[in-house]
Amino acid sequence: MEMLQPQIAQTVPAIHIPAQPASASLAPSASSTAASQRQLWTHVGIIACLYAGAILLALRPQWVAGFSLHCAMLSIFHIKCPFCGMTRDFVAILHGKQPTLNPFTWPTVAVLFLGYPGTFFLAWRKRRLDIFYWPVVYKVGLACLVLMCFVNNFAH
Amino acid sequence: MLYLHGWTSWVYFLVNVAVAYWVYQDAGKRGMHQIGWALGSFFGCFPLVTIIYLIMRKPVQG
Repeated sequence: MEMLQPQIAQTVPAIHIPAQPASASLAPSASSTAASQRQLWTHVGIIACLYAGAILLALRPQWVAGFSLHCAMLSIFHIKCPFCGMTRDFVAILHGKQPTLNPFTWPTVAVLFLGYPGTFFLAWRKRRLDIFYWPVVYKVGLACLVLMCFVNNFAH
Repeated sequence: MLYLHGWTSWVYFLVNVAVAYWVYQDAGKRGMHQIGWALGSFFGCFPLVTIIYLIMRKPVQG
């Protein structure tokens, strides 16, 4: 055993690991920190706007529903988009009535007002805000939109 | 045209076009599908698809 050690030392080349400053390997760069801060505040702003919109629709629904705001897809192609009817359905929910115009109002409300803030909070705690642009999220979202459009036009 | 009667419809239409154009430009900076997101933002009930875009957009590249 003692005889083999010098041979191993001769045959195995020394691995040279360049020294790196601790800040380069562990701490995030200033630009990535700024980008993640922007991302964080964008999500906070969206959630604040969602809840502010809900309060507006609960207290003053005529400010939104009173105007003649038409969906472009419905007006031009005479096809309902996946969200057609949801504003009026959401106003109905806020005033204690059942939504009748779009079958996906309840799931959309649950995703936007509970699922999204909850996911954002967990992702923020784990420093994984990139989950919102994972490819699988895009694919599932697109599949949901196609399904919602189909059901909103043909099965409802 | 049903879509543009009354001044509120015009304002809504112009804001919708402006936001769709902004989405087109912004998606390009982030390496996302520009035309898809801009069309979705315009034809989806404004501003719901725009909100989805803001949630799912990638960081700026470069």
